[in-house]
Amino acid sequence: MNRQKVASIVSIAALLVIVLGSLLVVNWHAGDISQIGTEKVASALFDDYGIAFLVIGLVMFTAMLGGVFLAKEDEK
Amino acid sequence: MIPIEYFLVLSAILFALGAYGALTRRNTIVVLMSIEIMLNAANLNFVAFSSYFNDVRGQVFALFSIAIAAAEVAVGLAILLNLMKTRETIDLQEIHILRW
Repeated sequence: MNRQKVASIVSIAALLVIVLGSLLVVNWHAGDISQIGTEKVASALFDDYGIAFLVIGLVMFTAMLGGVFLAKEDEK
Repeated sequence: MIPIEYFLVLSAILFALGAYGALTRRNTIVVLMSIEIMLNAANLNFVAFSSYFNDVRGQVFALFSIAIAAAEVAVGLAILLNLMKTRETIDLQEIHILRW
């Protein structure tokens, strides 16, 4: 058990205690769990967030190009 | 009827596990998987709040977050491949050119 492991365990235990304590103390004014249909999700995705959806596609395309470029074997 | 606290507690525990793995593990692939666990903890919170407040935006943002995580992992694995090719190791204790 080296120092890095001990420091990680201590800091993460502190984080967990703070987060769990605060979220159990707060009174969430949440209603019942609800079934959101896929139609609502689809209309929100394509109507309200259409631009963001396109940008996400661009980001994934760029990531794919970058991944292929980084991982390709060098040709002589 | 499941209270929302259950989802939040599960999410906090998942996040702590992921943070512990990311901070202590020496294998880079395991660190990447721990980062994914942390991202999924955040996604779980998104979906839980979305369904308890009957609002679809949380699910839409969770979808976006999953897409970004996929892009991140693609680039990360490619960088790992390159690292393995050039340094012959993916042990994080031996890759310390950018830290002390």
